Amino acid sequence: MATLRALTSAGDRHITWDPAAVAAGDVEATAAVREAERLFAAVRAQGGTAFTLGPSQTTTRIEHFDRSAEQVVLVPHIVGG
Amino acid sequence: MDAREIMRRLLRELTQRSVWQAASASERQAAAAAQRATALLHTHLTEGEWAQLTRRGSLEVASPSTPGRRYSIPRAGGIVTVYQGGRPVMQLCVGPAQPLPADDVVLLHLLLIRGDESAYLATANRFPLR
Repeated sequence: MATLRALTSAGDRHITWDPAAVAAGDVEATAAVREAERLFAAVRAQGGTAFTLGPSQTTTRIEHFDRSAEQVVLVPHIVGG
Repeated sequence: MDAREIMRRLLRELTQRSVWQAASASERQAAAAAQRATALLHTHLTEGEWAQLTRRGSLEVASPSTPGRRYSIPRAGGIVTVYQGGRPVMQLCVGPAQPLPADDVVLLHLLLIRGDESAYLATANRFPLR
């Protein structure tokens, strides 16, 4: 299963989908991944940053939504205090 | 007491009750968000890192680019301290533009340091220590 999480003031919001089901054209899985794409675009448009997380704490910044990534985390825009 | 006064009192009581219920619901949502943030942060840390955070109240993160540099992220929020070779050399003031549960803020610092350290440092206000 793949997951996208967005950190928000109401706590993290997450969307999960099965990449194999998306590839097979499953309606629910396709709807979930489209919702994840919308959330990704919305947070990025507000200045947020996206990361994929891999094994051994590998953290990679990404610019474009990757529906094959196992875990994507979106963090909101940051500012210097 | 006439009917108008009864209606007025009834309306006042209903208003007060709905305000209290709204505040109570808001507190419950904040508590639930804080619990989810803690659970999420826990899944991103090793057992050693989690023990350090809960025992010391801060999380140390190694710089991916500079040997000997470590960032100390306070769980309670506030200034991040940068250590070089074990010595504090700089303080950073940086955080999310929108309010987040405290443990989500720790996760935000962790991800930015590990995944986009140069942008993190470029955004932060930096205060060198002597």
